[in-house]
Amino acid sequence: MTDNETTTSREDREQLRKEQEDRLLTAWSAPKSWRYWSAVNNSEVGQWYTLTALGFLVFAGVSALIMRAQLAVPENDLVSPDLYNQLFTLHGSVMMFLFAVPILEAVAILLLPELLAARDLPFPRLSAFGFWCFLIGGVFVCGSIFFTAAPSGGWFMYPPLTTDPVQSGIGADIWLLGLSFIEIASIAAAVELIVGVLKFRAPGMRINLIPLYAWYTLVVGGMILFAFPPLIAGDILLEMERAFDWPFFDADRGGSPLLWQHLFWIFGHPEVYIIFLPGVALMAMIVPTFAQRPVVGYSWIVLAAVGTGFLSFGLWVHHMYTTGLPSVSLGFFSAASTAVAIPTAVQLFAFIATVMLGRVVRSVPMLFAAGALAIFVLGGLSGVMVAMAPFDWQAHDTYFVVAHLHYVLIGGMLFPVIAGVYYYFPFVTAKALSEKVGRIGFWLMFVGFNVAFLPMHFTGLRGMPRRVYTYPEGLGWDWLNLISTIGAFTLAAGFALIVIDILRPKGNQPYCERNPWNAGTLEWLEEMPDKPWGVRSIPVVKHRYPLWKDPDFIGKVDRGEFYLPDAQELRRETMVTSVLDAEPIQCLRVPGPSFLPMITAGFTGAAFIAATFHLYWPTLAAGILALASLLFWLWTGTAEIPEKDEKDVGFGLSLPLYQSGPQSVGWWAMFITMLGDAAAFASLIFAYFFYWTIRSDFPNDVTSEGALIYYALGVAAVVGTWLLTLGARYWNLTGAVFASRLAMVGAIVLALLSVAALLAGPYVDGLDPRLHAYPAIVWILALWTVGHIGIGAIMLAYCFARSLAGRLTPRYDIDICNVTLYWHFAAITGVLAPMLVALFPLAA
Amino acid sequence: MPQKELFVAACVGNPNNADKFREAGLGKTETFWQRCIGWARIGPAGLAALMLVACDGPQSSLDPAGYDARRLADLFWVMFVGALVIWVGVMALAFYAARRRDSDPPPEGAANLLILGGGVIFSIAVLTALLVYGLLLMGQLRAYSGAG
Repeated sequence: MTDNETTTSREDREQLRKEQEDRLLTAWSAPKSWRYWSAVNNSEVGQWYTLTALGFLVFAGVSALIMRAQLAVPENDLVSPDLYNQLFTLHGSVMMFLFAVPILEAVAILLLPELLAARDLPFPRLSAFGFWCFLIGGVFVCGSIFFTAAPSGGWFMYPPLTTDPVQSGIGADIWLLGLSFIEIASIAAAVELIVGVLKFRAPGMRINLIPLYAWYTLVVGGMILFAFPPLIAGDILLEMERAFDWPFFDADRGGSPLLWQHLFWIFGHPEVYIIFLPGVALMAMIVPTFAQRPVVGYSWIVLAAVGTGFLSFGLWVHHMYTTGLPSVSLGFFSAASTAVAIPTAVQLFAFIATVMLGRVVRSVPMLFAAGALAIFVLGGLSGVMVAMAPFDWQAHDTYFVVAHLHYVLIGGMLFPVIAGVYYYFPFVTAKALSEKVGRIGFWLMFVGFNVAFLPMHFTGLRGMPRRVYTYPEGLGWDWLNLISTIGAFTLAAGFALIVIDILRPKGNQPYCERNPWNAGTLEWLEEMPDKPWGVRSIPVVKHRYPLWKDPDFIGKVDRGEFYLPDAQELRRETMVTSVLDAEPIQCLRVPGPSFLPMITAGFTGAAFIAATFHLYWPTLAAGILALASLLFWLWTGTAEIPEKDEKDVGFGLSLPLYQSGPQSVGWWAMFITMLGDAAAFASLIFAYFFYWTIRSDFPNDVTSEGALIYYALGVAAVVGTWLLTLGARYWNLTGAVFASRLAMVGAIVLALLSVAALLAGPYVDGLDPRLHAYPAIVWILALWTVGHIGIGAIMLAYCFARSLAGRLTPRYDIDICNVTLYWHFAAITGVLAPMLVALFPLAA
Repeated sequence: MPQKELFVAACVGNPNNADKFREAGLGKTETFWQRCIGWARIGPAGLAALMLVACDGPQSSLDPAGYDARRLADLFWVMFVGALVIWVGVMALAFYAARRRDSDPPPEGAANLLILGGGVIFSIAVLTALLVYGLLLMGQLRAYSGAG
């Protein structure tokens, strides 16, 4: 009788599991046929993102090969000087903006949820939006070379070369607007990844158990958040000078070309670590797996990664050693630049120690990791050399720097990424890449790379400047260049082999076995081939390497013995946990497939592209369409009111389906986005004070009394708007819905009044932004401020409409909570900026 | 091309190398392997010659003609030798770590010592020394050329 019962209950369990899997499959399957492109799940978007970034790598690689062919012999005329300029500008820009940063975001989108045992990222449609922006912007920027209209001012676009209308054509606008568009997508991805690491970890995964890759993602996300905004601020200034002749960088009219260098390198140096740290992150996953033991010095590595992140913001001036700065600055930045070698050394020694304590399994990923170490260490050492200001005076803008930066980036990024491609290929496709091709490819790449770039150190020391399209015979550069060219083509041959291996059809190749490398981390829970739900049930994690700790861990997850093993309502659901201790706080329903992100990205891209060609009416039209589709997307797809308050997620735990305020992921995304926004605002303030420190004619005007009154009115109206917004949130929460709506309307009216008053300030002073950098920066600050107030007003109007439509209620108030958070930041901008522009000229 | 001539001169024209050429049996009829061995024997000398040749040139910073340039070339050579030694050291360590085949692994303490000693103490010592050298040099050069 007992036997019978057990059999029945086992059959019941099997039956239940089957039904659960059917429901999960219904919820998570990718859409079919042409609707496939509406997919938003991290697996699909991550794959598109990765492949697109690899495509741009090939594009930029081919442009490098053309340059190497041109330089193979002296006085070569394979390409014209102008085309050569376009090639090196695109090579650098595409490698940096369209390959290095995006590929690491792409890989993170692909890996992160599985690594944390979540089913998706917090904002899948935002990832999809970021991807489409990236694709549109990237194709636009790259495509320009086929019309010989590509940017040609070098990847760091120094004015006055790039503000000279004769020296630079439409290419500079393509660079500024096309890449700004992509930078916004990069920031969107960073917000997504930061919130993912903070809020989407499996229950129990406290901060000391977070996989190293996720730690690095968090650090890099934070760096993107503070590094990209200064560049965006710089892009705005440079484009305003190009399009409307506002003289931010024109020394004749009170500007300074050095301001661009500062803004660019405040971005540009952290950028190096934004690229390098995710490479280290991949090594931090690969090395322990092939040493078959936990990583040694986990806390050291985390500290070093965070330390590198902070230090990297204090080094930017080492790109400007030859601009005539005082010795004190040079000394400080020399010290900071060498100091960053310390956390880097800690990370590398931790990996070597891990290998030493383990038993190394030889494999292609380890081969690439070893090659990365050999190359990167050399790049780091030549980096210490150029960190010494006096040596940099000799090496600056020579091929020595070209050699150095390629050792850093190829050793710190390309080789680890290829190691990662070999390591994670079975994770993505359930098939393995060829070991043999991998080894041949590695040796071709490794030897080719060193043959190409090692002699370049000498080419540079012998005086060859970077970016020259050709050179005369007899300066001692001839055979060095020929060797470099041979090496470059060898490197390319090795890479081509690997690309062919990636792309070759693998239809009849058997699937890998599960967890093929015998790794210890959660991403290897997935089945081969992968199921669309990501993880069958969301486990409780108590160890850094749960798959090694508990041999039956995979079995338990598969049998649905953990949280959320089912999708009763056929919805995509995952768990939100607390930031430090990863305690469950919400069962979040993430949105499914939609074309809206693609459509919104299309209109946004159209607005940027039209602006590039100075077609301002189409720009306006596309911008309005982009805003409309964004609002439609938000209205239909976010802050959905669930059919019940709570849901049973297993183990007798019931979690709310709706959260607002700091408990919700939306609040965190807004907070993090606004930190980035504040960084851009701070960059504009920096520009203002930069002019003041270096120019005696700044400010060249004093605020009149009439203007002061307008500024004061504007500030008062901003504060009033902020108070009414707070009131709207409070009254809504307490059930006084009518009072809340009234407060929203009042806030909108005050916001519009403040816009008028803040524009009236500089207007009544008669400031003409084309005459001098002072009126120009005042107008930029005014426009920035009223822009933020205007966006805030639209948000309030949205909340008002949601309230009327019954989608914003006292219980379900996420919209007004997030808008209030936005207004905290907007109010700071709206108070600080007018006070600065109104009062500083009186004090100075 | 003067470089090419110099290179040939350094390899062949140098009496020491000429001896080695003869010792290696180059210039006579010999088998491929004898030729290889011969080249291998003169290889290091050839490499050193190559390095010297690689430094000259009208725009070369390693072929200094003035005071500043000479001091900066010295700085380069100090850093070059230092970098080479550190690189070889790190590679040797990594190679040892990967090829270690004795039965029990070193204790965890050794690993921490490696991270602390190599990553922190050694780096700080070397970088501080270099920084002091570099910054003092910068002060002297700027004083000498009357700038800063």
